[in-house]
Amino acid sequence: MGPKILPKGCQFWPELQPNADIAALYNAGFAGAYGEPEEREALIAENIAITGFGSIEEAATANNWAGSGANELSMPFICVLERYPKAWPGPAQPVGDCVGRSTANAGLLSMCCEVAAGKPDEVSGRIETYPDVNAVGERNGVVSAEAIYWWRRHGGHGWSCGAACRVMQRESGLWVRQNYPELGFDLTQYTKASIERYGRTPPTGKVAEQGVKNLVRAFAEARSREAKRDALANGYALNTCGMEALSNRRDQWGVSSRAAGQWAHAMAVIAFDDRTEIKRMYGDSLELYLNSWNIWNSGSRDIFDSAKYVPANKKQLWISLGIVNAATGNIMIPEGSCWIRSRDVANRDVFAVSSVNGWPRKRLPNWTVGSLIG
Amino acid sequence: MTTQPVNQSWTKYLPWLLLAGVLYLNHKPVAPATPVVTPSATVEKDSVKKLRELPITPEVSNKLANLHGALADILSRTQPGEITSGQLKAWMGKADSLYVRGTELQGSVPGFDAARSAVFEDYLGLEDEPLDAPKLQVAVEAAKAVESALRK
Repeated sequence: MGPKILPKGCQFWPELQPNADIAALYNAGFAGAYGEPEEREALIAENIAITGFGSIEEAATANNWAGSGANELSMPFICVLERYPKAWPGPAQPVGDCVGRSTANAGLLSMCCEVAAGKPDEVSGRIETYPDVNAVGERNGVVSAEAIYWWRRHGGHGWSCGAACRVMQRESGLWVRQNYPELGFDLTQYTKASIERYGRTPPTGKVAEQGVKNLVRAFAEARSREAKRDALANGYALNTCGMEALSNRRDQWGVSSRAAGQWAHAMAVIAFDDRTEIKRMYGDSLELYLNSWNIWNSGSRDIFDSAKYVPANKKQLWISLGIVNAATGNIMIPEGSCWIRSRDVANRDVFAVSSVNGWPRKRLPNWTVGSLIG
Repeated sequence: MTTQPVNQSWTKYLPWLLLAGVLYLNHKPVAPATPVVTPSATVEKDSVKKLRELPITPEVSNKLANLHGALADILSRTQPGEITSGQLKAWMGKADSLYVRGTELQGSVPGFDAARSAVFEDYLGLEDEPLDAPKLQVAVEAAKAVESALRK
């Protein structure tokens, strides 16, 4: 595992009283995310061995999608909300497991983008589909954050993005939020008890066997603004760890600023706006950060001048799903998220999530319905 | 002034009528100046043909045709991506039950379910997937094909 590097001014997560104010704890310097340089280096080395690439810059150039996000508004989060409109923001963290939440959110986004694209999985060759989840499971984030966090290998809270990505690639990927009676637990709801089921010792046996069923196939580090932009433009979500505290107020276009103080915190990045007019208005491109504190912020969620991107035959559907603002016609960012200027988040550890060994598309046995006609 | 009996007034024209009839029957029609457009021959799917050939009374058949016409109408007004093929199948089951239960249609056409299933499988396949705009259009065509096969 190697040394854990606690950011300056931070301390490890405390034992909590029920209903503790999570935002206040992050503001007070309790670390949900910390550095583990050896884990990061191992992740990159392992992915170079698997894919030939340790960075998005290399992967994008080799696969001819470098620059594909330039001057574009990329909104891959819509792939999640079209299928699971209630998935985000999800419940507020009860403990410092932001790395589990961020990693799961990023995995969900990459998986949904893959399914929406309809392309066969690069390894299995299967056309994949969205996993079924009930309404409660959907409101709790569709996929389990705790089932990744169980593999952190210590009894406290807090983790590193690099280590979480390694777990998701080798030991525990996407678990659908549902009951697992054969394993003795129900993951439909995200609870403190569920989060703390494992920690010091990772799961073994049948739980470990379930963990490897839906792994992420590859990660790559996104070292530059352009890499983040192009990764999102191609449906690859970003899992990020860093120190920036964000304001809980959004402006008229959903943009927030850095706040005073610092958060040792992990968040997924689910969209990128590199349009010329945005760069003119804000002096920089914007990255859409999804926090895991439920509805912790306020302000407009309209994306600037985005009504024109709504397909005409989907407008009513997207209004009903809460993707489009009925009053303005603009696409809206999810609750609990905010746009941040790229320069304000330039120093985070960022890992792009590639394809997921997902769920094969189902087939109907036939079209008979047990007709009473005969 | 003399008058002829009424029942003899037309008979003197009979030979002329007969001659006109022979001339007409031997007349070779002149080709029209513009070609007559015949409807293009669309090949009916085997599954639709088999549904059409099920022994059903006209009254029952038309009632079932109405059901599928209504299904086509609802599908044509459904938003792309709003339902999957699996959900459409479930819809059809519920509509079928609501329409038929307790009526004389119940049990009226043995083999109907399988025959209709074959039509939808022919048009839509068996993938359980979201019905985007093109697939929704195909679903409409499937429902209309069933309606057409049943319309007597």
